Amino acid sequence: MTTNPWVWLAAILTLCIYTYLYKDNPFYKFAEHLFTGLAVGYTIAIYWHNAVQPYVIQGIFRAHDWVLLVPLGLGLLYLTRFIPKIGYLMLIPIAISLGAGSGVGLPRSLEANIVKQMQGTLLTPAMLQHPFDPYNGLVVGLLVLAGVVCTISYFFFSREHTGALRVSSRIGIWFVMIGFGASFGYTVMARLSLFISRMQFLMTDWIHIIK
Amino acid sequence: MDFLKKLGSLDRRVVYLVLAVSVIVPLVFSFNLRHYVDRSTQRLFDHIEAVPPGGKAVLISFDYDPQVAAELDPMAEAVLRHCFARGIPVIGMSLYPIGASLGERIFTRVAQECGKRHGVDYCYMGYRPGYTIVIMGLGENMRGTFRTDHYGTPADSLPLLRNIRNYDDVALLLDLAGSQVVTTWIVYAGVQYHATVAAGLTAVSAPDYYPYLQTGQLVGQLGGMKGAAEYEQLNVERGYHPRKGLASRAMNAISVSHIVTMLLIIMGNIAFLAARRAGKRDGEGRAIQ
Amino acid sequence: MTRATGPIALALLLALALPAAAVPAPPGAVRAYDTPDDDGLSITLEWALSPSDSGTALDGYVISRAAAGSDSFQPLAQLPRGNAFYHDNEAETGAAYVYRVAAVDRGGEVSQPAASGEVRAREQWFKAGKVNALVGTLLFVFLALLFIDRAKRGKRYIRHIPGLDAVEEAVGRATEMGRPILYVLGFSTISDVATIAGLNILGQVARKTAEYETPLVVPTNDYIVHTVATEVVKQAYAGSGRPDLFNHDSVFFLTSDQMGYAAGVSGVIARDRPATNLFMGMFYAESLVMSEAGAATGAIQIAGTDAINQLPFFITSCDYTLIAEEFYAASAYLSQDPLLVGGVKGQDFMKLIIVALVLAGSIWMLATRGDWFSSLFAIN
Repeated sequence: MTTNPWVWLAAILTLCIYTYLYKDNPFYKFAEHLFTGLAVGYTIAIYWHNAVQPYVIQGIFRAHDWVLLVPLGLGLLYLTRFIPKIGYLMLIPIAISLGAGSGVGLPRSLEANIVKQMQGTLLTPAMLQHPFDPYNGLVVGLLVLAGVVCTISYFFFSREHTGALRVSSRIGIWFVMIGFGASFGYTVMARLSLFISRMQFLMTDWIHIIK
Repeated sequence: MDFLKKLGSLDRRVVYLVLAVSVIVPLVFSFNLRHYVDRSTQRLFDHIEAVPPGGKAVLISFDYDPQVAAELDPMAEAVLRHCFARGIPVIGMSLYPIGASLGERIFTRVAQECGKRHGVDYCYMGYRPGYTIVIMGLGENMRGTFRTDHYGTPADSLPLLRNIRNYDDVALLLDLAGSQVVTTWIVYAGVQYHATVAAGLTAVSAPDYYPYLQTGQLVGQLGGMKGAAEYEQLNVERGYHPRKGLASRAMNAISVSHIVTMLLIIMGNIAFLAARRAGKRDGEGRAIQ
Repeated sequence: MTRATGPIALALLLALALPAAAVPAPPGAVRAYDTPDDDGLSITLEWALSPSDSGTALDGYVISRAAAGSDSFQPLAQLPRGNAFYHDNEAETGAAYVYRVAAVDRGGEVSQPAASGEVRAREQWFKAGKVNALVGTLLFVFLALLFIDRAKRGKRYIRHIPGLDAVEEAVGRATEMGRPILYVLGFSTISDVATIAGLNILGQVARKTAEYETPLVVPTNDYIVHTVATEVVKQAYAGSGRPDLFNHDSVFFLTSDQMGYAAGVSGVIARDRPATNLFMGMFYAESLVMSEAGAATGAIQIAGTDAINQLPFFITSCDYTLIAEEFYAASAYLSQDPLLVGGVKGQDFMKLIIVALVLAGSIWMLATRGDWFSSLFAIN
């Protein structure tokens, strides 16, 4: 076993968190709150050094870059939420960031998530050359095209699902479910990975069973 | 029938115990499993393999929290070893406050092992607040956006950054993340500045990004611990590192526990179907009460 | 012996170093042109890599610029090797320039420069490469506004959503059993569209519970969502003509801590044993903890969320799940708010256009064996 007190501390806190598997208890609560508190404290310190220091203290007070007063003022308006009488002022920075965010984001999101994805869904003449290629072949291309069209038809709400729409939406929901199955499988791996990593830490760094 | 009934109402703590054993035993009694390498991992590896040494840089952004570090740390380590072994300059950064310290830990350790110097062979720039604004700023003027490195040294005085103006001088941008932030990189760095983007993702978010891989908006992708293990294997096969790392060892445990999970799912379903059939016979509406 | 080896080694080293000190080969022809689609302050340079670029001795390329007709070249930048293009973003609109690119090695030796022809930066008013995004954005905004307007004038048809029947059935079941209904609004803030959709559905459920006199339990985790949820339930009871039945304690604040909230909700499920659990909103890792606790009690469970990563958990642990957009459509269907209904219908027609374009484009490209159609969707 290690004599490093920090490893001991980390190991004890890990075990405290895992006691939740038996049932909710004070050890779990203590470790959880400790982590939440540490994370908040650390984030505040990081923000101080990376945002307040360079932009407010250095930028405004030392370099006299007065334009920075505008974002600072807008940012401070968020704090009005603590004063119910003028709490509505908080809406100003929210509106500005939402408006600017949508303006900057909408065309680019459309390009990245719709225009380019539409291009990726098209069947191309190149696919005819290797119809059975598992990545860019015609068969896979057709499958992707059918998946996209049928799934979209499932999420079409302006018409009742009858006739051809009923068939395509039924196929669409199958595609969605297969997608969820893949996602579920990946999630199982993710959760096990996190557990395994903690076990590796406990058995390697703490009790030295694994060399 | 009694057995199936018991199986259906198995205490979840028994399941935890079985899974814990299936994880711990393969970790203690290690064996060597060879993984097939997924095409998305291979594409990322090949892309870095094609970057000329000493030229354009690889930028790695550590956009994750400790909760998912188990999956993403090994990826960062494997990619860093590859870049360092090939003499490619590397720049590290983070859009997450806590990600900055996670990245720094890995950079310092791997750089020390590979004998690389900060400022010359690699730069660690740390946390920059502002997501979209940072991503767009780097596309305009990298040194101006970073201002200083993680340790407070002015960016202008770092020799490695002397020739790196913006994404034009970055051969690859690798985002390590467990959230939607990857989309922000694709949308802003990829669409706006035509940067080459790749992602190292937690297994939970990996399936969400396959469409981007198919359209080439991501040049490569590492998915979860498996992706990291594949990259470690490629590093060993090409002689960039003498031995596999933590992810490969974890894959043994993952493989065994996956088999156990599959058996549990099958048994659970048999119990469920049996209970439903019994329920129907008894004229009950619901299978499990 | 030792004294003799020093000079010999030095001579050997020099001899080995000599070829490396040779002047690097110059880069190939330099092409300079006005950067397209910009504000007239940039010129793009392209060149063929120097033959020395493949070795490790080359450091990079030095770019210099002079006004046309002048010989005083000013250095602009030094790029790492492997680079074959450069944007000069400090050009003056309309001024004529010539550029030189020379290869430089690690020893500082500079090759003969390769020169470009005369070039001027020009301003463009319109970024031609982004027309596809512009058309898409305008079309989408137009459709949304059109359908919002139509919805305001009463055209609000949205197809029947089967999950909503299940909600009604579940309320009836709770009434029959004399047990409460649990309504969880997810773990997000009021700015999340999913939370708003969850609140819309809550209003509808609360009307039903008021009609049937079924107890409703709404644990919350965000103080703004809490206030709005209280108001929504109160109004629903008033709207059903039973304001007397509204119990202030039915909407209560649990905690803002994620797993603490999940544990709290699980506690409510275990103690009160609601007949129906509804999970409607934005969910994260806490989703399975709560829905699994509910499944263990045998309650009817219905979930609605757009959290793609949590949907598989809800599908496995709930009796019915409103998947992603279905959830929004359900909320629009119930609230009949013209903004929501118009948004859903606008998106519907955008989807129709997308499907039509993809199908027609695929057939066209396979028939003509050309890539022209695909290039319409290129990102520039």
